[in-house]
Amino acid sequence: MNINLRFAMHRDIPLIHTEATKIDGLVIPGHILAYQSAPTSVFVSSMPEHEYIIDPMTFIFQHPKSSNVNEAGELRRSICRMCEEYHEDLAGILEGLDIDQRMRPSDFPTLNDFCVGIVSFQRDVVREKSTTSKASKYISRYGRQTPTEPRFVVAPYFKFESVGDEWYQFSLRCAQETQRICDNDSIGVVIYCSANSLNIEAISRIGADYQQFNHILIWLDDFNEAAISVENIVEARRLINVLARNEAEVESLYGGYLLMLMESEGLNGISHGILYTQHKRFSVLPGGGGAPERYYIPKFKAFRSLSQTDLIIHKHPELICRCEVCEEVIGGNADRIIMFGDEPDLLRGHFITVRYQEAQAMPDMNRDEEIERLRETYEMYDESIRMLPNPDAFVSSSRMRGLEYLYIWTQGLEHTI
Amino acid sequence: MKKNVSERRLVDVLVSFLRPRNYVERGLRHYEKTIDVVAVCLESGELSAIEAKTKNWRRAVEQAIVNLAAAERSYIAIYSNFAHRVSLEELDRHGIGLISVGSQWGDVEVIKEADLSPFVNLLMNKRIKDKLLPKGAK
Repeated sequence: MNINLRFAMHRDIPLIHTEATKIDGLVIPGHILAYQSAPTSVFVSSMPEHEYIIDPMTFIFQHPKSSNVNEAGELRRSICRMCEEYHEDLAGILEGLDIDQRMRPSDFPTLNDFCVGIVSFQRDVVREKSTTSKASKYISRYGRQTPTEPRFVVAPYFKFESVGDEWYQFSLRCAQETQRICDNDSIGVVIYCSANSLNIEAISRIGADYQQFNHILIWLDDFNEAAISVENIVEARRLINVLARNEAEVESLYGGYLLMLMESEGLNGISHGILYTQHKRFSVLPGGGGAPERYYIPKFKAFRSLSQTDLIIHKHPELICRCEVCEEVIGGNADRIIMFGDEPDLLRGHFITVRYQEAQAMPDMNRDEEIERLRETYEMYDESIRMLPNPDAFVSSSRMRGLEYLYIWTQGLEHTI
Repeated sequence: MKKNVSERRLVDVLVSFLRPRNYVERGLRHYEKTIDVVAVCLESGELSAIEAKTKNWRRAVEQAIVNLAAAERSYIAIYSNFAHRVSLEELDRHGIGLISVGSQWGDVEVIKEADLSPFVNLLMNKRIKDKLLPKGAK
């Protein structure tokens, strides 16, 4: 199971460099790379052992114009820069929309031009932007530079509501056109929909339509592992299982431990940020604010606020993490959890370390035994923490409390597909 | 006729009541959250954390449970017109106390004392007390 880090903030770079051996690769959002091209390219070039992909973020063109403009009504600068990189007409098309209007597939430039722009950007930007004069100040900051090309080019993609709708068709055409442009080089395609949109027929159709692609990224919209349903888990497993049949490498663009457990269905990797974006929903705009300071409780496979964690590990000292970061910071003394509040970077180091350990354990894991462990954890701790609000469930308007989600996981993972 | 009262007013009344016998601070930052009122008893040196709400006592209880890791005693303070709605059984289950607070100065009644929390983080507890106590005070 590969763990790819979704890059978001330049302040994370020192930590990423320190913990580099614990991650397999990088996912660089296109709008960040377009807007902060020199520092981001230099950062990517400073990690030549880590393969990367560039997320073209084309789904933002499906948002209403109001989501892509600032208070003055002008295109947000990162969006504007991204448009300019992709195609000379794109910014103008977006600006020409009414404030609540969204682009339709027919609004885009010709398919070939649009895809060529996105392919060129992904292939060239890191090499070109990491050696400019603007880049020089970052080179001394981030260390040695070996610009590389991305692991594969990611085709433009869009969220579809149902198989066969106009965005599904447009995404598929973009994927086919990108493959044609890239000739024999392998490309990555993204299948982006809600798990609620999936059923056996839809999955079968997707499997047939995307069978010629070697790298398939899935993004199940708002697949919030703390607020998930059994049905959503089953459909996710079915989708991965069908896509992996043709020996494609299947990864999830966002994901947490539940998706990691779908290695058995054929999932090769997940990506996420540090402490956040284990799931993401369409309506959330790119960027905006830092990550909440929260602690990943390994046994719960979930984050909790520091104030909750303080209480939880005082009630249940056996839950004190024994990763190398926590050994050094907490050393088995629950009172020392306050150190994480003083130095939030430790929270990030702890999470990356534990996630690495979880990924390392996957190949030898017996999933039935792991399901049993999750069930035991639910039975042992749910009642004790049921009164503590679960912020992850709350953001998806879920009424799920305590560790109910773990019980749902066991049901979804045991269900026959 | 029932008069509405703001949470701020409740805290004003409560703090004024506590001041003669405690070192008191309102709005104390605790990790990512804020505790409405913290008070160190001049006599016992015990730290109490109080979450105030006009009506929504269940939300206050959620927050008060988290405070069990910070203070020796954790309370909820509810507007007197609604304090009778609080489930004492629920408070008992977690060892949380109940204070009824009216809108007038001095209109404060401790309905249920909080139990001593068995989950106190001693480092956090000391840090809060150090913040509240005047220099040189034990």
